[in-house]
Amino acid sequence: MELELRTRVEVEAISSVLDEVDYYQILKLKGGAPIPDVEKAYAAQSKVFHPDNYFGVRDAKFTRAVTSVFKKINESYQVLKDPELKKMYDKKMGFRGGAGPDGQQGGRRRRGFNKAELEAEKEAREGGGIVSDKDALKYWELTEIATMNKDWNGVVMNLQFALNYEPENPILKEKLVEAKEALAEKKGKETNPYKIKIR
Amino acid sequence: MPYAIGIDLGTSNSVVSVVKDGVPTVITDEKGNRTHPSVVWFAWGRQVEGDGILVGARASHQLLLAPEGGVYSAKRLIGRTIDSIEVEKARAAVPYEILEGPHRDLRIRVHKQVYPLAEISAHVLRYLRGLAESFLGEPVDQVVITVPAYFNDNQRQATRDAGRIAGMEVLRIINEPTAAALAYGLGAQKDEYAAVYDLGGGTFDISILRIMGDVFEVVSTAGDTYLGGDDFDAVLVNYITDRLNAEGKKAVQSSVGARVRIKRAAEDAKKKLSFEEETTIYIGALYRNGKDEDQHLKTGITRVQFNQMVFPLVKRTFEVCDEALIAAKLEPADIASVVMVGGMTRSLIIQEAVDNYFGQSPVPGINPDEIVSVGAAIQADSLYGAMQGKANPSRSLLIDVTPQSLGIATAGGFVDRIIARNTSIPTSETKTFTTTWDDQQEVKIEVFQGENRKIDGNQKLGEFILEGLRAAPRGEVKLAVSFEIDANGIVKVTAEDPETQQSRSIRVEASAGLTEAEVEALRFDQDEEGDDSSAPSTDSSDQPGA
Repeated sequence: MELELRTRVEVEAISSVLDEVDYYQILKLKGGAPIPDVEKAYAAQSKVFHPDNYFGVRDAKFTRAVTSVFKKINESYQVLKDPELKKMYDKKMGFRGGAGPDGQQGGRRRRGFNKAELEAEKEAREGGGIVSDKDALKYWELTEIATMNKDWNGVVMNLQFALNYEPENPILKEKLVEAKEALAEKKGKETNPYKIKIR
Repeated sequence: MPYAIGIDLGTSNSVVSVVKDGVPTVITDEKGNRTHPSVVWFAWGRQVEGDGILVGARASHQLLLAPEGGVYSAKRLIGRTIDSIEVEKARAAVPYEILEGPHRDLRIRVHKQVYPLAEISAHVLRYLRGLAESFLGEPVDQVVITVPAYFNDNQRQATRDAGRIAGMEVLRIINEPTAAALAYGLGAQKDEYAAVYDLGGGTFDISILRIMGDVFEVVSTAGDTYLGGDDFDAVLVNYITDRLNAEGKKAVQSSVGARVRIKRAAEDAKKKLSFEEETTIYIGALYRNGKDEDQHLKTGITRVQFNQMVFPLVKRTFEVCDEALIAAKLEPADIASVVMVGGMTRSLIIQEAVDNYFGQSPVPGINPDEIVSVGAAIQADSLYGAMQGKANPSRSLLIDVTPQSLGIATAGGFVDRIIARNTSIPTSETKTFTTTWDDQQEVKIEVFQGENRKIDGNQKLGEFILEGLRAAPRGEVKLAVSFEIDANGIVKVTAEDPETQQSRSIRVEASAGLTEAEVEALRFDQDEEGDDSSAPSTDSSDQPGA
């Protein structure tokens, strides 16, 4: 299939600035636009930038570019259709509820906050407040699972990892002492907890 | 102009459709059957095409006469490993032998010949392609094949391999509920949330979609690939065998022929109980007594009894529905339309339960056996059109999700999630790996699919080793590994050394599947395509079940 030059230029141009456009811009919306507009824009932009529209284009570079554009469109949609994530995003970016011209100023110059960060923050808020760092939270969750399984090796290790990100967290420190005691009792039973073996 | 066809490759039955002159059409066999049993019957060992292999209605009929040559329910095994509980279940229910292949894949033995599962499915696909070619009067090379939404990477790859072995180009593997939604919503310019409740022969899927005009976005999907109509039949099979055992006729069930007939009787009874309060199960001449006289089995069952027996199965489907709705952040009341798919949804108990759960009747006028295949044909037409560069502003667009999370093994026996389930596809994530030891030469990465944070309970897709790393102090060598899930839901892993910009593509060599070379070797000879009609003819009065 022959690709229109115009399409190729547009896709390549957008894909080269993906890191600089915010979630509203990629959907061609004004900053802070309401959710129904987000949904409509998502459907419209998908009809242009979903890779299936270029099915059969045998050009790996173009396919990669259009896929990366679609991925960003999709990520934007996932954040902006979720009322809570949207609120957090709008606040960080300085967008006011509803599209407003001054909402654009603050956000447009800064690089966007991404979906993973927003979700981690949301999760941390809901996660009882023991840890706030997103990586520490991940290891804290693993610690909880390991505790449930009485896998003290796992508990110690994950607490240590979590402490790398929040070295001063008193709860983590306290739990580590407890876990080490539990491990000492079981010492010697498990030899190598590492699954990625390095030869 | 050539056509691309859509095939719903089902556990019990398959359907093939095509969009012709803009109209989706279900293709029939020479007897007018619109659904075709996914049964392959071998007269003897591996033979040349058209010589003793039957597929579809005739194979299903032959299964009663000579069950030892028949293979059915292959879809329950495709892409699985020998330790799967499905293998255990199948061994008790099917006449063929199940073995382990060279790459932890499954194979089956019929007439002392060993076949990969993908080859069995390829026979079904070739048969359906033959039907399409007769209908269209021209060769067909392109196909869209549907799979249960909850199929993992191994199962998808094996299905795609089957299409290739059948000599076709597989344009896309799409999810059954998504295909159904496409067929339901196309052209109606809807703006709503729809749920597709898909209870097939061997699998259960629920997908929640947002339909926005001609854009079909899957919001979430959940499923159970160990739950289907077969399990409802199995409940009745147990009921029948319990009766036999009570009469001291245990030995009867060891006969393959008796097992097949008991299963048929169970299927019949299940269907009847949707219309009758009670029914009689009668199997004539099931076994012989000591005096060599034919003995019959006759027993009754009521709908109430049946409903009680299958209640745990029905309940399980709604646990899965809960999961999908929670992931979509929706309530049952947010769903504007419920589309029912799969033969099992004809059952009264399922219809009543769905009604109750969603608080509304399913969308009427949908054929639960055919809609998936119609959706596949629409998607085939759409992709094929895009491929030919045909302008079509009203072309439908499917945006599906990955049903299961993708991750890698990490310290402590955990899985580090890289792509979360219900992420829209195609998608990719890049992760940087560093060496943890001085002068480390290689890194091994194990890839898993599933939701469990611990390795156990996830399906291992495969592993790969990044080797030939530069000798350097630990932490200094970095490797960017990108995990990609394409629009087929198939995983691809690529590694790049940022220093040398050298990239190498690593197909996660399916830990349970065929190698590229094997697929090539198995490909049916192009010169003999679509020749099933020359197979020995049998009187086919038998009709396939739903």
